[in-house]
Amino acid sequence: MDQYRKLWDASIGGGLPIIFNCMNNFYGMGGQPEGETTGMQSIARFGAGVNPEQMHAEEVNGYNPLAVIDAFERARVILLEGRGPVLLDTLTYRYSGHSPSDASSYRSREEVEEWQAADCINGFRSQVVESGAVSESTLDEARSAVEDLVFDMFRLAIDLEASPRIEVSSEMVGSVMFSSGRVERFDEREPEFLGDLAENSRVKQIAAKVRTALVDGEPVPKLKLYNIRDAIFEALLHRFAVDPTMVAFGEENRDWGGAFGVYRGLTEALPYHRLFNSPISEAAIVGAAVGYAMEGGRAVAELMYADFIGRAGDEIFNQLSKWQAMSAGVLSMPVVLRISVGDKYGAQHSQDWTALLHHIPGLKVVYPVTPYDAKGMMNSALIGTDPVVFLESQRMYDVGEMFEPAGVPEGYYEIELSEPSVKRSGSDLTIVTLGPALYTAIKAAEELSVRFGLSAEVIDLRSAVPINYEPLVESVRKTANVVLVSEEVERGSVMQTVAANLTQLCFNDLDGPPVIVGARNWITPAAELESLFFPQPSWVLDAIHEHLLPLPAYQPVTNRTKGELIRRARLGI
Amino acid sequence: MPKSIPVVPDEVFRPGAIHFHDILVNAYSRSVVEESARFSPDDLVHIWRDMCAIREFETILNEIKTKGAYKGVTYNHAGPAHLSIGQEAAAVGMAYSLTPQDHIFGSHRSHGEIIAKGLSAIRRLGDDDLEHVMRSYRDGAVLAPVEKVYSVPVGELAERFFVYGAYSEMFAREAGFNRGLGGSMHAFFTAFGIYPNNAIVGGSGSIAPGAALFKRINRRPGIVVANIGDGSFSCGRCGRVSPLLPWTSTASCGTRP
Repeated sequence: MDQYRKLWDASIGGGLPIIFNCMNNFYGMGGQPEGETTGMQSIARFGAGVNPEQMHAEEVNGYNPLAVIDAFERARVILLEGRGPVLLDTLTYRYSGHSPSDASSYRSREEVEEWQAADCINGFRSQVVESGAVSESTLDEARSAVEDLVFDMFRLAIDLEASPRIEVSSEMVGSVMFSSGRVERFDEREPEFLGDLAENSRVKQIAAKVRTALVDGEPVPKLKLYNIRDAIFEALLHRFAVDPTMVAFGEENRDWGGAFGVYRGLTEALPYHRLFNSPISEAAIVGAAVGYAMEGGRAVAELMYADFIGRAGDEIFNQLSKWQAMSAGVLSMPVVLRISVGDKYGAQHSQDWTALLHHIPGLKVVYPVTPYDAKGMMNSALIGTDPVVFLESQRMYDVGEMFEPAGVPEGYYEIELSEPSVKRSGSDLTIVTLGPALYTAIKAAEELSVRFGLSAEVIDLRSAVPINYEPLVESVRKTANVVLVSEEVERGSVMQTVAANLTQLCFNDLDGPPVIVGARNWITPAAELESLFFPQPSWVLDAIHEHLLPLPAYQPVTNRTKGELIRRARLGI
Repeated sequence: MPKSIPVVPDEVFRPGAIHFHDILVNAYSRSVVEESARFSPDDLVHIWRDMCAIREFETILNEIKTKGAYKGVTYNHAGPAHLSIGQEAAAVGMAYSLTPQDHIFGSHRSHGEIIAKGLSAIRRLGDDDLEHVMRSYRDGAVLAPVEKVYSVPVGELAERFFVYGAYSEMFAREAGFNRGLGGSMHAFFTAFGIYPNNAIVGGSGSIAPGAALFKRINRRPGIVVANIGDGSFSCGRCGRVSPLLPWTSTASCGTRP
């Protein structure tokens, strides 16, 4: 990424001040990167492929501490001149096994003995003694003293009375899974902007928009309609203006404003170093956000499609999610990971993977689908200190506010991430939704009302993690029937978890089992065939008719019988 | 948005060749005598002492894992111990000239890097700073068991505090740096510039550039070191090809040869 020096303000300082230091001990667990598992021959060679400066790469004698010090001091000069990064290939060797159970079957005794004969500690001792700079007795005394210190501390650490283990029975681990903080700004300096925000074209455009979907019962024309894009933009702009450390990056974030234009207008408002195009590497995008947050800044990273989560699998599932708890609350992770969920683009661009995200402890996962919810929840995510995966439906970006009669407030407000939202009141059954299925459920509720005189309550979870179940329980106690709808594939979906919990919480209040309507357990087919895949209003009616409340003279359009459920499960589809 | 980086056919199709320069191998050849102006006798003793500290730290772990005892003290350590005995010079050389504002990230085999960086930071921080770190860190929970036994000068207390916090972390003790929730493969202590170590091979490769981005964007001092094992260089971390590609910068001229 060359924009540090080509496009960023010179005062930022140029290339990244980082040394990639390969602690090259010539083995993985036992496999040999040089000669066996790769053909590199030298790790330093990597640098030559990366940039014209070859990352200033060199191989360093890692058995001589002075050689390593020398290399690091030269590297620091390069970094401070803005010519980084640097790659060092520090050659070393471990005589210890990969782990204490390692029988060293992958190397010969002679090889290990040769390295022990060249031992770096003994070798340095010989150098120093030969130079006459320090006497042998001084070295021996220093070694003896520090070994005693280490041994003493080992003994203190294993002493159960002085150093008790963490209370296994306590809720300590649970208490550090999230930091649940509120931080307006991570630094006091003035946030950097280009020009006057009041003159920004997008800001002016939004100011002229209508903040409800309907006016006097008539739909607002698309170009005049304040939509979810605008809602997310407003929340982001607010925090950009308050927190000088906040940065946003991802694929095509500048100029395009992200593939779906949420950031449009920010290119003109923010300097490069606050909004930039990343390389097309989802792992790098999420990983960098994690490192940025660990250092004490707020990052908004974006993945263009939910289907690309796999490209950042480790960074989302093992890094973003875990470091708050693994640090016992020492680190916070103020990262909002924006991920858009596609449709119309087939099997690898149209998948709702909320279930994968919600399975991982340590992530908050939200999926608002109204402008009011999107702005309020983005505001909450952006003042918090936890990693929040913020899902955005591409199909919903242009939707206006249909549920808040007063429209979306121009000012700042927050929505508690855990709170489900009752979008339509009812008394005969409850439909719980997550994501765009809200609008499917509203259509179904309308049809239930018009055709069958049934009053359905529609509740949008808005969030997969965390969830306050109390409003759901309250509704189910009232209606005794619940259908759960989302666009995830049905198997292992968030709704399966919610249904299981509601069964436990409301068993005595239910007239029938919670029924789940999700997408089929297939690949997402082509746009023209999506109605066969994603839940339709008729599927909701079918499920109600089959399992909960038989609808008079109703002809189901899909097969939702128990026999069909068993058939599909047996086939794995 | 003004076009900033033009793509011009005449330049794209101009004949030429891409040149590489030599990569130095073991270029350092000065003796201790030749370096006498750079390293005082005290410096040399520090380097030596830090290497010996790491060797002892890991020898103890190795002995208790393989024999259940060290110098007559028995202990059963259930968790992992990925050791780097033999690599001490690399760790100490890496950490020796880093300041507390320089931040290191590492791998699952990073005990040596942690100890080297901790001891280096302790030598560079003043007594007041060390006191503050030890007393404020988790409200003194790591310091308390050490201070109860040892009444020693601040520098030595800090070394004991640090080694104790690291061992306690590995043995899942409440007094561990992270209350034992990190453990052997993830021990870290940010107050001394030691950032998380990662049990996922190459895991630091994508995270450490974010730390460097933070320093640049927020104009903070210090550099970042990502210590990564040779085994991780093919793992595709943070990119299709290598841990290094995506966030790295190219030459200031940037034109094709």
